[in-house]
Amino acid sequence: MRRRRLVRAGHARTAGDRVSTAGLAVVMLVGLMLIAIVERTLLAGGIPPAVRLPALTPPDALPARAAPAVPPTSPPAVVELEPQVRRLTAAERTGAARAAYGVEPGAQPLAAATRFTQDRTWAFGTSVIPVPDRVPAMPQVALFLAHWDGSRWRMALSGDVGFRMLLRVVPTTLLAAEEIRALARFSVGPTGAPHLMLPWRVGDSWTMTALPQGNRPLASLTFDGGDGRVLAAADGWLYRFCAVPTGAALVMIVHQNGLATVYNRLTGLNGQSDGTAVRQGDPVGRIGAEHPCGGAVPDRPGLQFGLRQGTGDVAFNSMVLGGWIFRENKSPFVGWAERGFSEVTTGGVLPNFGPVDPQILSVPRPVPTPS
Amino acid sequence: MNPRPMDEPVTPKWLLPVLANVAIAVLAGTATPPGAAAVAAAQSFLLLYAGVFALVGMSLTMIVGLVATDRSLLGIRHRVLAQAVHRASSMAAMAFLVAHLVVKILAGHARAADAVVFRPTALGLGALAFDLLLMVMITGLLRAWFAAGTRPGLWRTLHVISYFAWPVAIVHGLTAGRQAAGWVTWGYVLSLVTVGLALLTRVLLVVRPVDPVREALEPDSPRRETSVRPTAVRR
Repeated sequence: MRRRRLVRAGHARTAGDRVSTAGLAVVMLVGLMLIAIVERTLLAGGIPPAVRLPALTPPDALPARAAPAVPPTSPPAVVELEPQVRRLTAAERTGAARAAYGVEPGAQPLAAATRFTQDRTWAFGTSVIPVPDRVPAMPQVALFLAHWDGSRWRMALSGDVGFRMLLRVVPTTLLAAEEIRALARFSVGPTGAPHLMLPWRVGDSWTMTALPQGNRPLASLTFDGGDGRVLAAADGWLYRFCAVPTGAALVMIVHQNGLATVYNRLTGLNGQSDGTAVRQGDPVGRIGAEHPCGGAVPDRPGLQFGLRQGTGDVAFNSMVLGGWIFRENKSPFVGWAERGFSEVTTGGVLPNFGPVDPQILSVPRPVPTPS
Repeated sequence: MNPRPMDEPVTPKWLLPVLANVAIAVLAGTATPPGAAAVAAAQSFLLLYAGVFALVGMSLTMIVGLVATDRSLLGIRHRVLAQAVHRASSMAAMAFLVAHLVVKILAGHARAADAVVFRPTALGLGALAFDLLLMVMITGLLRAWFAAGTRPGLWRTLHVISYFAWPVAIVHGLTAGRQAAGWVTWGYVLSLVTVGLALLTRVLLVVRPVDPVREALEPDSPRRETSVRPTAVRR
């Protein structure tokens, strides 16, 4: 026996043996992780019911759905909903807001449940982390979806995996099938770029001003001019944030491909409810000087305009709007819009050519040096 | 020192009892608050990356497996090493694939049936790839049994299934779940093209047309693999 052990100990381990041992070690490590995860899941009461799916059909193939027939064990605690959304927003999005605002967000998040199913077991709404005073950044906004499982609210913010999971089972009495598809794309990330126009009447020219933030020269992009009427940049679904009785609000339109356009400092909203389907060019509101979601007081009425998807803002770099390609260059730190040989930097005037196909625009040009 | 005999397992005998003890320790530690926090981190990591690691492992397995069969590129020692890498990466890939399925099911992102039942969706493609890879893995483990049987070539035919399973897994990886970065997509496309070209080269190098005259004259002569590209029928 002793001799056999010695003989075995004398065997050379080849490079192949070492590779096999490494592979085996990975398998064992993963196996140990899995038994621990299974144990934790069992200790926590099994697979979470909020995301237990009746069918894993992607949103693109969703049939019409009704609310689950199983009655809840206790009535939905609607009064707890918005405070819970505020806590969730603060826990999940404060870091992103801090990065976007450049300072610690001071105020508590604002949340508004705007839609419920008839039995009030499903809710949909908006949340936002207000911008601190004197900071010109675009407010960090999110949509939320919540489901009362009989004992508590299960909820998720747009951009989270849970949001997409809830979208798969949300009744179509709360959200229309087309809206669910757009929101799923918005939450995961847009597929391609929609044909966006600049958010005012085609043919009119507005002044572009921009303030930098972080590594983005066009982080806070503002337009003003013309008749002051703000129009939808493309077809989509409209959501309001921070709406105040004076009619001022921030509006986000989620487009069919999942990209969203954000319109801040709007006034005179013409009464569309959340989730209203809007067409490209439909009036959204008028430019204003109010700042309902907080932030710096603007020196004149204007439209703060941004792009968004999932959990964060989308840079304007390479985006095509109104027949212009927007550029955000880090070095030299400059942002501009270009079309053919025309370039418009901050303070310049941009004519809106409408939702022009990007294919017919000029190819990217060499980066200009600041004069 | 002598090299390890082929019939002796790589794993020492003490490994299983040690592993059982470690598993018991992990089960006990998981029930404690720090253990729970660590498991939550592990679960979060596997939810995000187990699928990615499985796909990368599979891609490595495919590429190394293809390289290991090529006698014109590698010598015998290197081919043996490549085969070891092929086996190790396939083991790791399958482990991550199982982890991917288990954590997704436990988190409620998928049902158990979704892991194996094919549907014409991004998720269903993953199930199809898993079914095919499971077949490849099981037949791979039974290779010795096939070799001892009456139709040893059957194993190779079954192993070719991996060439179908891998692209399906890539499509699943790129279309289900979060959106892949551009470089990730291009990386997989490059892998697919590389393996496709390597496979085409191999087919052209090792398969030669049947010579009917020679077959008639030498009916018992075995068809040997050749590294010469056939350009004309030799007489």
